[in-house]
Amino acid sequence: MAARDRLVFAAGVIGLWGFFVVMAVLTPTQLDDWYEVAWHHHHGFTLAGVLEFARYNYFNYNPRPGETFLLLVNGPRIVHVLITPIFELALLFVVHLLARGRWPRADRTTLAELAIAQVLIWLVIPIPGPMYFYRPYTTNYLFASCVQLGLFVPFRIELARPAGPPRWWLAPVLLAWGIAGGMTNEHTGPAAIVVAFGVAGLAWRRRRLRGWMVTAAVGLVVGYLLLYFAPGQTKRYAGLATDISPLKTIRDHGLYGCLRIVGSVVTEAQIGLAAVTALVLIALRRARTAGRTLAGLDGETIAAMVVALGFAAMIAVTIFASPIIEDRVLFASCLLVTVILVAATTIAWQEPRTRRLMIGIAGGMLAFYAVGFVVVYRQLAAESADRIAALDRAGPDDVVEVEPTAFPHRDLWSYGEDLQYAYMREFVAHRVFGVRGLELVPRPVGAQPNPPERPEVAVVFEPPIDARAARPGWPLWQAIPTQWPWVVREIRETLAELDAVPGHRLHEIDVTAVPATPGMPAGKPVYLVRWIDGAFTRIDARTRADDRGWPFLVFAASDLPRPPTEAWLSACGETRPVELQHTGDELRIPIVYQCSGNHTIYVCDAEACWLAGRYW
Amino acid sequence: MNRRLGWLVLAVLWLHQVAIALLSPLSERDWSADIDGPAGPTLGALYHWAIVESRAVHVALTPLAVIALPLGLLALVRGARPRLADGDGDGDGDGDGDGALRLAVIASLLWLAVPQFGLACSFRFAAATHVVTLAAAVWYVAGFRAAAARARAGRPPGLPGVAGLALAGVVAGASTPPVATVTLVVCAVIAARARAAAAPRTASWAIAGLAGVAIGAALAWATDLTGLLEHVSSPDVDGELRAFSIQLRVTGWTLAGTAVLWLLHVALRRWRGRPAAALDAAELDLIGRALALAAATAALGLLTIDFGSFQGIAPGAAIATAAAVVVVHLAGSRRAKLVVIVLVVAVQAKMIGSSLRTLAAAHREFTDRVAVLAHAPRGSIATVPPYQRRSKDWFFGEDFRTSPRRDRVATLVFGLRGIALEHAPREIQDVPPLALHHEVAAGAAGFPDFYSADLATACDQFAAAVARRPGRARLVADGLAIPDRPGLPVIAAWSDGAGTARWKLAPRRPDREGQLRLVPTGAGLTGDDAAAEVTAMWAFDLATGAGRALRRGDDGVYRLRPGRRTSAGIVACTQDRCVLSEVIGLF
Repeated sequence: MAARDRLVFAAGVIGLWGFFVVMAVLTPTQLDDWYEVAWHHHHGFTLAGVLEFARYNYFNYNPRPGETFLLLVNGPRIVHVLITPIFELALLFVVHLLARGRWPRADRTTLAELAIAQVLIWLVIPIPGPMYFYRPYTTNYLFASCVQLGLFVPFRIELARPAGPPRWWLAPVLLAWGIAGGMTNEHTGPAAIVVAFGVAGLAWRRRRLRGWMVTAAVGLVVGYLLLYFAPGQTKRYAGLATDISPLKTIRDHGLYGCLRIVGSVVTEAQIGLAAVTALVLIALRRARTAGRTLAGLDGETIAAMVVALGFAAMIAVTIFASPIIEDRVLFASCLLVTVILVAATTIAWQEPRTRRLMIGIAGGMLAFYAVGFVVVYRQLAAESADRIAALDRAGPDDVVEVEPTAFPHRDLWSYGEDLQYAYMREFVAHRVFGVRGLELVPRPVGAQPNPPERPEVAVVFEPPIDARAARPGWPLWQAIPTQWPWVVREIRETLAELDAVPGHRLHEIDVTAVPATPGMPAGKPVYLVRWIDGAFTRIDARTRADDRGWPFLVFAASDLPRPPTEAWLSACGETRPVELQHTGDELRIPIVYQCSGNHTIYVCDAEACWLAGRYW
Repeated sequence: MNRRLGWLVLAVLWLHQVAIALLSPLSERDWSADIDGPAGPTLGALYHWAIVESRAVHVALTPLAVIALPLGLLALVRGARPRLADGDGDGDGDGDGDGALRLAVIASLLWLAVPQFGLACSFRFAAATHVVTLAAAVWYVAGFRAAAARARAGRPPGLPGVAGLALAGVVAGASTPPVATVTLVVCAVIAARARAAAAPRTASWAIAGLAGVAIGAALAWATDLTGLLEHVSSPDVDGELRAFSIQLRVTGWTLAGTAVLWLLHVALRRWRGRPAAALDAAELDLIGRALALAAATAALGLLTIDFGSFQGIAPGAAIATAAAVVVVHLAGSRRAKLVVIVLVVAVQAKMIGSSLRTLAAAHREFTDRVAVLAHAPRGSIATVPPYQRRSKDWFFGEDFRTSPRRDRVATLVFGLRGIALEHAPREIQDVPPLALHHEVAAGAAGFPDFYSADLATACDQFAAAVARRPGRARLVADGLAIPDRPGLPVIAAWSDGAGTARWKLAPRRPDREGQLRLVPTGAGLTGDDAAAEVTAMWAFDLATGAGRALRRGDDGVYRLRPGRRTSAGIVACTQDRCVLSEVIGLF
């Protein structure tokens, strides 16, 4: 029986691993994947190359190790197939271990527990499809949580069993693991540190403190400091993190905004919570009917649940300071809620009929999710392959037309249409496949129209030199992104190479735009981005809404070198002046639609105009 | 708590509701009831119409009906008539249950767990359609259970009781479809258990009661059968689930909050070395039943046409009841009870304060708005300021957002062509620049001297005139010219002497690219070949008269790509005529 049990367990786990492998094979290339694909197009897949990428990211972009993993899994498909399913499976074991406080046994019971845990993970986390099968989220969030929460497995196991040997050999291992765990994510790091020191304190009170607990906590601190103070933090998202202070972000969210973030975690978890509550109640009721009493949760499990609750709450609180509030940042909190719910199922597990019911439901849900994911991603894989084939076939002067995806919306299954963004179409066309353009035909209503302006670039060296002749391979000569964040990014990525002309110093890069409609003030250049002696100038306008819901573009007056005096709207075949409102340090321009299609806003000072933003 | 304190709790709850009823303005669907009368033969629809027509009825009855809900839930929790002094029902005043505390906890948790419960109390439509009918259903179940208990005791209801159960069953059943269905199922279970426990003598009262509820439920489901069939035949599962999730957000929060409270309670007690008292069998039953009812009403709500609109009240009330059981259980000690009382007072004080503040301002703005509209010249477009508030916790807010409702109210209630909102917020549709005139074969006497800015209302005005003076007539849209059919007028409605005809667009979901799918229906366009009869469709910008031909998709359906801030007049042409079928506000 034991051997058969082991066989069933192995078959189940291998089956789940096989499912993840299938999904890794089907995963389409989407959105942020394309940056990695572009890198692979221009570099070899070597260890040195990967390390160089990691170094560049740390100093200039996303410093998390997850971004380097993203590069790896976007390399040869076999790498993705080998790495990602292991993390996905490991995460399941981590959740199970934290909830149950014991190593999994190779038997049918554990297999059923794992199935229940996997279903609860998918029920509770936001957008499970993208979190598991959209590589940028998988590596930055799922891998990260796996590493960080995995660090707490030794804590949980140690405190759940009778005192054992000190295991000094774990100290350096957990120091390294702690550093890795601390570097995984900006939002979860502080909470992980507090929890690690808190649990170590608890162990000390019980005279169970181990040296490796301290090194793990210290590792987390070191890792987090390495992440938080990474130079790339000030540059990614075009410097968003430095433009907006955490306190200002919290103030902007307001009390209700912050509560809404906490509420969002609960909202994600509510179906799982309701299901587990109902199962526990059914079990208790049935046990009473049968004249039995179910054992309550043991003290260690209750403590683990309370710690997980506090951990989740602290992570949610750190999100208050985040300028980007998306469902993906709720992932870690939701995962910890899953740990609580999995632990709570131990009550229902004791009552045989409820256990069978629970296993039945979990089996059904597992099948539902698995079939759903395979069906959706098979289609997405086919679409992705068709798009790539069309782009591969096209010549440099071709504009490639591809069909919109059958799954255009971001939902629990998939990420949605990534080519709805003009910058993405530009990037894929120009930087990955070297074609003139990429279009969705027919264009979905919500998709961004192609910006109609014609960008131009001028590079000035000192002493003067023909820049194009000196650096003919500079990518911006071939194609210039039409949105400033990508101009900045590409200039930054290529700056070192551009500025390496012997005997000359790079002095200035001017990226200008030729408006699509006549009527702009004569004699003033229209800048998209300027780079002068190491400093970028551009208008970083964001969309907000006033009290009546009317949207406006807002940017800091300090974005521009001189006080702006006027603003213009280019849309619907004409250029017309628009109101420029001064409110404190900010400048606002109302968003008014003149027609359907692209609207471009320009702001001018005494000497020049700047492209301030687009809406459609 | 003594009885006097219990009555004080009840009085505070009632007075709060009286203030809400006094201050609540007419909003949104209230105008439809005012113009068109009751929406159906259900309790909710009839009651809605009554309280829209008479503020006195609203102030006198709605507060009683609203506080009947927590009282009814208390009755269900106790399994007997609610007692304010002694909640355990044995009448000995031993204080092991506290009716007033339970009532106060349930009433407070309703504010927290029921989505937009404040708005549901102040918005006549929601109060009548959802709160009052839910209270009726809750009390009916309580009564049905009492009848079952009597039958089990060998004293089944007599003929008047049986008749009362049947009649009350119709009234309680004719609520919302989810509540009606769940009421029917719950009563059937009660009857089955009573029969199993006591006897064949249970049959008559149970059958009468169940028949009454079944008739009521049938009425509830049949109120908009066409819409329901349309909804069920083309389900938008993702959209429904999203609405489900959003609508029941606060309900989920309450459930989570209760679970966290329990977990912390258990952890704290264990930390102190004193195990927490487990929930007893009766409490577990109550919680389990409440969760089951919440799940059932929520799931059935997904089947209904407008899940997003107040369908979360019944599931929310069930969760509030389950949470109340846990909270009262946790309030076992004197100190814990004090904490609960403080929290209950805080919740009620917050709700009373914010409701009075919000509704007093809303009432003032509504009164000013109605005064402006009542004094505007007949046939004009009156301008009023939009409502200021944006939170919908207590007040529906701006109900004049779209022309079909706003300009219909303008014409049919105030005798105006339309209503414009000055400095309108973004989500407000402008008054469509729709110009219409009638052409009548034999004398235009009795025809309107102006037509509404809302196309459907204008067609109704025309139809009413034709009904008064039958004959050949047509309602012509000004300023719209079909480029390839010069001289052909675009008509909105017409009469050949035998009634008025017009075309409309059938509701269709947008296609995958987000384009609107336009399927004209109406006189001469019914049947399988209807789509083929339409030879062309046009979208006109009503402000400029500029028209563009619409493209037909592979499925034979014309598409409109939505634009920004325009009133698009959709014209469908056959060989014979071109008809302005709809005005679509894009904003």
